[in-house]
Amino acid sequence: MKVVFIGTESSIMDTPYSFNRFGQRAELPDSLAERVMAVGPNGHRDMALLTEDEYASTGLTDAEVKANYYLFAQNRSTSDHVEKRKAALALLHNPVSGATVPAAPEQAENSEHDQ
Amino acid sequence: MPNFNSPRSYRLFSQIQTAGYAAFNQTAGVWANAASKLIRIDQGSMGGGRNAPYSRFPILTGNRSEVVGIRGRKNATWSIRGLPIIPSGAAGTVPDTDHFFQSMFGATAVLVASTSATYNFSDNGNFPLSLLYFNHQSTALSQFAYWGCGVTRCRINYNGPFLTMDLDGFAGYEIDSTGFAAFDAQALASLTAFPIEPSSPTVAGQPIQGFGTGYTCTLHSQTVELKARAVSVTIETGWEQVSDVYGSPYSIAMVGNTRRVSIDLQALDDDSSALNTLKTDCDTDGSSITGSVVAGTVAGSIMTVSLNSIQPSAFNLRDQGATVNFELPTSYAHATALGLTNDAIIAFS
Repeated sequence: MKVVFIGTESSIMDTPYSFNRFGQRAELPDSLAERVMAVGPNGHRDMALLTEDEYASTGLTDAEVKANYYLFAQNRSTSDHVEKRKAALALLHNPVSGATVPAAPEQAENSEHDQ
Repeated sequence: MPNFNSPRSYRLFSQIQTAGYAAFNQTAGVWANAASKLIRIDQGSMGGGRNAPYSRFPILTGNRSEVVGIRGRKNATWSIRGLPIIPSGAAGTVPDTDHFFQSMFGATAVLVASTSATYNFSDNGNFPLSLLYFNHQSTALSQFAYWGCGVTRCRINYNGPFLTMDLDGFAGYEIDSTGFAAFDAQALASLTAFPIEPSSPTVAGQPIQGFGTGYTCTLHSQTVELKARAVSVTIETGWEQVSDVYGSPYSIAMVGNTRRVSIDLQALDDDSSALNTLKTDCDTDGSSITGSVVAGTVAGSIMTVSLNSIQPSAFNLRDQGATVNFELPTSYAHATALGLTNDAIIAFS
């Protein structure tokens, strides 16, 4: 699944997937995406990841994110950009219909770890 | 030759127990790891221990040597020192340490999407935790799991390299992987096998500094962040175990007693109106002020502690090198009205 990160920093440990930039893209194996993008008991996704469709629905573009990156990080972006960012964050609580992933299963990897 | 253990090999996970105080989350005796969370701690910061003393059996035998005793009641405690408080980095979502805050506040965070996650005290919530300390390198080395954990005390430390908190708590009991088969069923809290470390756990957010430009410390509407040298907020949750029932050597529940929240401040002494206002508050019988401490400046990585009805204790002045310290000793916050529980509120935004 192609995903876009909208937080400041996050990692899936023991995997190559580490995020440190708003707008950072990655392609996760579906089984991993299903787990880390499931809405948990707290009412939002475990990780600040959106599907590409969800991200596109906010109107954020890569060029805009890049242009605002440092300003954005310091809350001095244009109001339009801030609103788009808020819309993106809101999707962590209310994923776009059809773009959601199933509820988190028990981790299938619940087996002996590589030692 | 044995394999030697290393503190760097461990990973700590927390989980809210959904089946009550005395049971790990499990399916047919196998630990269910859903919604467990990896907690980023440093080596040497996690402490814990079982308290399972033998009751002495001092019968007269005709000489001065004792005969063997029998096991008494069992209990456990745990602590974490310098636990980084790491906001999630995405406003409106909870930090990785959410389970500890749920335990402290007796409530889940109130979420405002894309804005904040706020913890308010509740007297109705009871969130016993499991803490699991896995050896990531080798399951042949001892691993530990605590059930029925409650946070009894949390001290939030400001002005260090990182924003951190020190946690103390109790547990129903602590089991280990090495002697798993030796524990009785109640100690195992419904497990039939020692839990297996969840793979590929996620972590969110960057650690934030314990100090910085834009950080604020406000008491009675007076800003003192450019004077404050040492600031801490302590939450004594009031959680207690019920450990004395006839039918069990273990505690069987956790119940809430009085909670108390306090602030301690040490600041550079000066003649500013801000500090003079605070000094006058300290000197005035029955004064009651509000306070807040804000750490972080970037949206998604800000923690705000708000305190109400603080009764400032009598202050002290103390020489410290070339300066004089204003010391506000432990001063307790309170609810603003009878029937409310707003002594303290913690928000991540």
